[in-house]
Parts: sequence; C-alpha cells; structure tokens
Amino acid sequence: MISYYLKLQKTRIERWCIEIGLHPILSYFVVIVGFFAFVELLYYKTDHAPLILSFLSLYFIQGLSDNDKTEFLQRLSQNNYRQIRLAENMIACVPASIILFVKGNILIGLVHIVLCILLSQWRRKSSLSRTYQNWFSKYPFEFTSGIRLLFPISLLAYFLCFMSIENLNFNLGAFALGLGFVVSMWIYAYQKAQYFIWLFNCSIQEFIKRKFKTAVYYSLIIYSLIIIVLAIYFPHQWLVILLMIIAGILNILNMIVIKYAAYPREYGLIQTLSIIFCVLMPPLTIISIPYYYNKLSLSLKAYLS
Amino acid sequence: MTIKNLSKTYGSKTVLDNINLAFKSGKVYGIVGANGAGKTTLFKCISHLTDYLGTIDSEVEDFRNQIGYLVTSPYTLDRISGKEYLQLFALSREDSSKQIQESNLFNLPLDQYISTYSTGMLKKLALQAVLLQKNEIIILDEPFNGVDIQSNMVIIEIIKTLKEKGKLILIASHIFETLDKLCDKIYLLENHRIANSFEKAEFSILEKKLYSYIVKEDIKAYDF
Repeated sequence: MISYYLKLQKTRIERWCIEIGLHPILSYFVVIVGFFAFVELLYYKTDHAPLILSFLSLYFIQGLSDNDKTEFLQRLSQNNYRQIRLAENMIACVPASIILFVKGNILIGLVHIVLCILLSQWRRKSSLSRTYQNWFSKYPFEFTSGIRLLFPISLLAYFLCFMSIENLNFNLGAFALGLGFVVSMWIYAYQKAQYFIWLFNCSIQEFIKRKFKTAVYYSLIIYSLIIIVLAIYFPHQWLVILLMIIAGILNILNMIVIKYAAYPREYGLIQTLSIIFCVLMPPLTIISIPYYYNKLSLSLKAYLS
Repeated sequence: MTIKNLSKTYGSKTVLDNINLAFKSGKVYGIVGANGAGKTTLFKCISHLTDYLGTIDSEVEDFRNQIGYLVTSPYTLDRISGKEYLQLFALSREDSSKQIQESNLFNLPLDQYISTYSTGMLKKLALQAVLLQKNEIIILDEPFNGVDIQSNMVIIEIIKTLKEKGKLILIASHIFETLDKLCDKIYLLENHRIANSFEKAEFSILEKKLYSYIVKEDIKAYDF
C-alpha cells in the first residue's frame, strides 16, 4: 500500500506537468536544473546559504503535514500511516540534504534530516492558525489569505535583511528584498473561485486597477522596513535598491495579468516561462504586461462587465 | 466495543465529557445530537484519529486497524481517478478484494478524476472505499447527506447486509426516519454527554423528545 500511495503521488505530479503542457521527463529535467542553478546562486551570493536552503526545504516539507491529509492516511491504515508520512518527508528532503552534504555542511545536513523526520510525525492543524488584525482586510482576497500562508517566508526575508546589516553584506540584503517581492508574486500564483471575481461587480479595467493597487501598496508597506534599512545602511547602493523596487513591482503586476489572462484555468508552460524570464530580465515586463493585459478582457468578461 | 470515561477537550473547551458506551457486533447503533454536540469528535476518538482521555477497548483483534470510517466530507486527492482511490483503500488491507470494477455498487464513473465528482458521488465513492477495506467496525458519519434517493436506498440495504454479516455499525444522522429503520439502539448526545439511550421500542419517545425542542410559534412569528 505504501508503494502504491507513493506511485500515485508521482502519477499526480506527472499529470499536473502534462496539464501545464510539459512532458514529465522534461519537467524533471527543468526542476533539477532550476534547483541546482538556484543553489549555486544562493551559495555564491551569501554565506548563510545552508541555513536558507534548509529553511526553504523545511517550509516546503511542513506543507506535507496537513492534518486532513494525515487523518486520511490514518483512515487508510493505522498501521502504516506513520511510515507513509516518513517516506514522503524523506523523499522530499533528499535534494536539500544532498546539497548540504556535498557542500560540506554536515551538521546542518544532519539537523535538517532529523527535523524532516520529526516533521513527519507532526500535524499542521488549522486550529493553530490565527487571524491577525491587519490593514489588508478591506479587500480580503488573495493578499490577506496569501500573506497569512506565506508569513514564515516574509519573516525569513526580514531575518536575512538583519543578517545583511550584521555582516554588511548588501547582496544578502538585496536577496531579502527580492525574496519579499517573490512572496508577493507567489500570493497571486493560484486561481481563486469565480465568486471572488464576480462579487467585485465592476468593469474589468477597474478590477485590475484595484488588484494592482492592493498588490503594490501592501507589498511596499510590508517590505518598507527592509527598503528603509537597506537605504540607510547602504546609501551608495540607492540606485540598485530603486531598480529592485521597480523590478519587483513590475513583476508583481506581470504575475497578476498573467494569472487573470489564463482565468479560470491555471496558467501553463508558456506563462510560467514568461514569469521566469521576466524575473531574470525585468525589462521584459514592458512587453509582457501589455500583452497579457489585452488578453484579460476575454478571460474575465464572463464574470465582470 | 467498550468506551469508558471518554473525555475530549480542545484547549479549555470540553467537547466530550465522561462518555461511557458499550457496543456489540452485529448491531447498528445511532448517535443523534445537535450540530456541534460532539458526534464527529466521538467518532474520531473511536477511530483513534485524535487523542483523548479514557479507554476504548474491543475484542476484535487489532481493532484500531479494523475500523472503516466514512467522514462527513471525504478528503480527496486531486488528479486521481475513482478507480485509483478505491485501489488505495483496497490495498490498505491485505486481504481486501482488488476487483474494483466488479464492486461498483453505485455505478460511479471510476475512470474519471474524483475532482469532477459531485458531493453525493464523492460520498458514495468514499463509502465504497470503506466497504472495500472489509472492516469489522464501520462508522458512518451522516452517510445520507447529499446522496440521491436511490443511493440512499442502496446505503440502507448495505447497512442491513453488513449487520447480517455480524459487523458493528455506528451511524450519526439527522434523518430520524432512516435511523428508525436501521438502528437497534440510539444514543442522544447532549451537552457533550450521553443524555439518554433508546432501545428500538423507545424510538417514538426519542422522536417526541426531539420534536419537543422545536418551538413552532417562534418559527411562525419570525419575519422571514
């Protein structure tokens, strides 16, 4: 049963790849190359790469500890569910662990594996979630729910910013700011129910304008402290900071138009590549944003006037 | 199965308070109570899906792995077919039948993704999955909700057959008429405790008791 469950998980991933228009083998290749490229960049940019890598990996792995899913596995088999959870976590922790060991971060690698084992016996319960008073409640859609979900990554961005000041490492600070903008983009990565668009009851242009405003305004508020701190401690880098802010904002807007241009379907391979290329080369957003903006009217006209 | 001094709290909130129950194989037991009375929590405790105070014992060997539990809203995995879902459950018990297609009691489109199923179809699939496990103890939490009339009849027949086969069946339902037809005994859960139990001959008393809670005048006076 354990092997069948794991095979089924693999099948689900491959079906998802096919849905977004990518052959599974090509997907594995892209993921592996992308992962190694990210790791090399991380290790090149900062001395805290092992900790960041471990944190990101653990953040991903804790997502497997969903209480409803664990209960489902328990109902499948009280005798085997712990092994299934352990097997899932061990498979998921392999990439980061290999990197940590190969790069010589043995202690962090061992702690990483131990934490993965412990996480396999932990359940993420919704009763642990808390709602916080915040200034995002006026339009309680993607941003509010997204920021609650991605709160730990925002904390990591702040931690990295603190470390950049501690070590006077601007690259790390810039990475922290970039991470913040990636969180904001991530918030808009998934499609919401049609109801959440329909209830806006406004024109498509007005709808997108509101989305833009919410995303940019709140992203800047959340990460304003990082921006201010970087500007104070690295004043000679003001132009880089300014360009990063502009690039971050343009990429958030790009994400929003791409998301709604594909609505109600999830966006596919071409759109994913557009997002990646725009992140790597922000000037491309000048072409991408108007292109997808023009497609919006077609995908949203069924829900908005 | 014997439940002794079962209590369950979530933080400072008591959900079940000193529950004592005894169930016999080959019988059908109903659990009734208002929404939030603790029926689902009781089932979760029996199924060992949550921790609790007290003891739950059974003469059934390895009984923790002999419980089939149909939950109110079945958990689903996206991008798997009905057939794969059933296969997963069938394989969870070594001696279970692997003839999925032959046991398609509700004529479900098993080759389709379960994410395309309606609420009722999903419930029927989940019930079929529980049956494939061939458990000795079967817990059905609101099995008739969202299911069409014909399928309701099929479920009733399934429960009767399971009873004949000597299985222990626990049902929580808000449809009194169905419980009346099926159950040998009904427990009333009130204020997180077992307030009363009713043998088959006493079901009419239970019905009157439940009906007495409704204040018709209040409903009529309401400005809809």
